Amino acid sequence: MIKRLLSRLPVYALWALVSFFLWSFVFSFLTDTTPAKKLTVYISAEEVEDVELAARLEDGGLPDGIRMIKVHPFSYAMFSDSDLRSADLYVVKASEADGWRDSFRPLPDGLTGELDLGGGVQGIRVYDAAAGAGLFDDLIGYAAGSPAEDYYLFFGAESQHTEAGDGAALWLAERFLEGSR
Amino acid sequence: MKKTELYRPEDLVRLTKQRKIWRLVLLALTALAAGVCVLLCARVTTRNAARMEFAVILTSTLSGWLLITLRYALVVAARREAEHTKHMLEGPRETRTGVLELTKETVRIPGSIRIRRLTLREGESVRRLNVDANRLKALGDLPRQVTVCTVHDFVAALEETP
Repeated sequence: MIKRLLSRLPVYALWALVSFFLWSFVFSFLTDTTPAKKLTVYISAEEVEDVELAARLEDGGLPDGIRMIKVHPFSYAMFSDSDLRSADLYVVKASEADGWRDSFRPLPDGLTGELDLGGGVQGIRVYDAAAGAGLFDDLIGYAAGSPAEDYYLFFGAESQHTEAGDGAALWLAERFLEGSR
Repeated sequence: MKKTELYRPEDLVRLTKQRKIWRLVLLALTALAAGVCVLLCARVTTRNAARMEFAVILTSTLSGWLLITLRYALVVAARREAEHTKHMLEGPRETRTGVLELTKETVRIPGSIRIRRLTLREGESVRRLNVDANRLKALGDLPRQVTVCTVHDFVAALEETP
């Protein structure tokens, strides 16, 4: 009996592989979608509870046409710079903001920022290093890096959800700035 | 004299029907397993996506293993038994008389049934015969003097010899 089971080991191993790749493929469709149907935030903090943060931002509903919110640390886009550059929002530490300036666009009307990078590009402070407090600081490891720095929220220059379109990037920023726990 | 036939046409009908039933049962179980996986996929949220993916892969893998095992144990076994029965019903018969004795040897024929080896002592000569392991009980107590009908050295029927 054991011998018979062992002789079928290749079949069992093959099924395990098929099962793994089949459902991983299915889940890649379930848990992601086209940029037009999702809102993306990239965060340059050391530690980010990306799943829980995305879930909290989704709590209470999404704008029409948006299926999901994706939150990624910058390291997620290691091999795909295009994904990083097409984000809707960025949360970036002060010292890195200038380096990413070309990926940002001016704030929408009605919003003002504390960090001015010139050319109309401004960032809204979401973490105050001096106070040691910020938005969603239970999920974003703002202070994990050394030395502690302020973090700022910027709007993505290549976002597909600008105010001229569905305005969903502004909706997401307002949801983020509410900073609910 | 009472003749015991080990293979009857009704056996073939029964085995074919059994195989069809097991195939339907396995198909239903496969649909059930697939349905559970699809249901789990439908309940995916941002929070539980990673856990659900693990649950779906685990469910799919384990149920697949179970179904593969059942297929071999039930459907394939019934098919092999049916093929052997057909082979025995259609094959040329030979009749021999002697003392039939069961050996301890059990062999699984690759891609076919499990058999037990027998010996038939006809005077000074000894002939090696086989019997389907599932039909061993039909031979009764051994060793004893019998007349056997064989098909390709498989015992197909036996009759008590006075």
